[in-house]
Amino acid sequence: MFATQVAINGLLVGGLYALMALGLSLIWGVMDVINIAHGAFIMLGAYTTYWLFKAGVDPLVSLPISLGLLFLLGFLLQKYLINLVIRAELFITLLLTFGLEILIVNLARVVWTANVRRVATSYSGSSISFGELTVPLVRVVAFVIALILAGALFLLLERTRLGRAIRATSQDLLAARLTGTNVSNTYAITFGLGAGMAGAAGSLWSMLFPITPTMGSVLTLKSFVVSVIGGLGTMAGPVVGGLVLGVAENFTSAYIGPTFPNLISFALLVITLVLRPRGILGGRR
Amino acid sequence: MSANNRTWLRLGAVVIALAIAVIFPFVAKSYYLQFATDALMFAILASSWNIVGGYTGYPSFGNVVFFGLGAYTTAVLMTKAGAPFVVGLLGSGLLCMVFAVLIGLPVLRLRGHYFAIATLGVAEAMREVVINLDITEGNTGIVLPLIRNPEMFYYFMLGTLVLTLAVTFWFTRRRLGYGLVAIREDEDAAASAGVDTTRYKVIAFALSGLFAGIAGGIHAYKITFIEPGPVFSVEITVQMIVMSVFGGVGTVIGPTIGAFLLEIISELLSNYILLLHATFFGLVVILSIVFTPRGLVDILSGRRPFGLGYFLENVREHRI
Repeated sequence: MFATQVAINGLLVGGLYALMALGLSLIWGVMDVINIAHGAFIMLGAYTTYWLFKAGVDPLVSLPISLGLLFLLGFLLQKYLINLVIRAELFITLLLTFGLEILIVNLARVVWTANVRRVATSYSGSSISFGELTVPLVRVVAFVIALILAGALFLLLERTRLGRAIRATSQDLLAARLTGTNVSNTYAITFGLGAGMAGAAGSLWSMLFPITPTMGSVLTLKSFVVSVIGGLGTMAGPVVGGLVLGVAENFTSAYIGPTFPNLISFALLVITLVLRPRGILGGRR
Repeated sequence: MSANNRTWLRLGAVVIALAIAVIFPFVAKSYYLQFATDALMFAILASSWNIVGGYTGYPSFGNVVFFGLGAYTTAVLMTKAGAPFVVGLLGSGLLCMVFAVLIGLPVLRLRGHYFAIATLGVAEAMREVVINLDITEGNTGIVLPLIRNPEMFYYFMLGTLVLTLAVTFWFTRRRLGYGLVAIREDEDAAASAGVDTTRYKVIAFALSGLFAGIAGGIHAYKITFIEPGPVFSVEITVQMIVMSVFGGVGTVIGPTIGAFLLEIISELLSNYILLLHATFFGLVVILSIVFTPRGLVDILSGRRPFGLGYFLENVREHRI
């Protein structure tokens, strides 16, 4: 019974990991940029929800707002900054987004202070029980929303003209350009979508866990681990990876010790990279 | 200027720089000595990153692992085994080399982003291992014997930097250096031209580990107290890379110049605007990467005309 409970908790957090990783792996897959500032975007999303909650807006209502705001931020950053170095060596783009992360996190620390904050709604404490199993309501809600957003992103990429442009750009930059895709805009929209996913994940995160300006860096790493474990190039990859990481973390902290989950995620990362560099699902590329 | 003249000019500059560096502790106040010692440490770290990241083109995002491992090796050897400082340093260097070979064999098979993040993972995992081990005393950290001798630490750092730069200079004129650059430019082509890529990459990684490990060991004894968080901080890796890029990646002296300039800027800033210091650092990173991706050495070398056009040309080359 205990094991089932642990597994369920893991799956529920895993849904959130999946949403975070979707944003990161979308940007990575399409333009070969690893956005180190991804966690900072998640943090911004969390704070958007926090401040709106202070003003009396329910987190579930503020979620689309933080998604939209972060989309805009991502779009502008890509269009006017990251595009300037998009063809440079890979560690240049890595460093640029690292610089962004430092900038955003420290500004947040100056403006909002380093205090730990919480979004405590009226329904935060309630939970659902099945026999001996209990599941906090917000976690279930967060899980379901995460999956809905993942599904929406999937439909956008697979069924729309914009999605086709994004996929075309990711497959062959030159060919996409020759057939009339505005690559610079497509990149900006892609980056915006990735940042928007991060913002939404941040909103959900703020409902479940306390937030601080520095919460993001470990989430960037987790998103990365999830993307790698699941495999790039497919939409299902991050989802599978997220669930695997969530469950693995919960089992390690329940059976080995609460200081080990971080170790297990990096051990999983290194093992996957060495044994199955293309990830569990092994997409193209 | 003929090539011969330039060689003499460079040699002269090196001799003068060395002479100033050796005399420095006799004339400087302790605050400046402290600062110079830190700057030297970052110069070693940036130069060691440059061997694997700059020459070989493998952008390691986890090189802090050698720094931390070196710090802990010296600390453990000195406090648990009662070894003298120099033995501790040798142990740090050796262990980091061995570790670099062991970890390098699997990890150096990865390319691009995968390599970058795998090394990041190695560093993070190592920190967790150190936190969970008994011999390293976990999160409490290790207290080393106290010693008041700032000059000694300065000269140890200086010596290590000179060694690092000398070895770098030496291998760039050898088969090894050409092999590494060939791997950076096109690994498959290098392999088909007969470069033993695996061996070369591992050697580069091991050299990188050796120097960073020694710097870590000196640092541990200097600050007399180490904890897993600070010595395995990813920020240190980022600083290594930023300093290399700022000065000039894949050049012998670039990372050292970058380390000194950025340390000076960062010190001045923290004296005046402590609060916004880190924010400004982020800004410097962004600006220098967008406008001078080849580093200051590229400007100083005078190979391309300098001016507003220089920056615009850099941007034009990489944007889309």
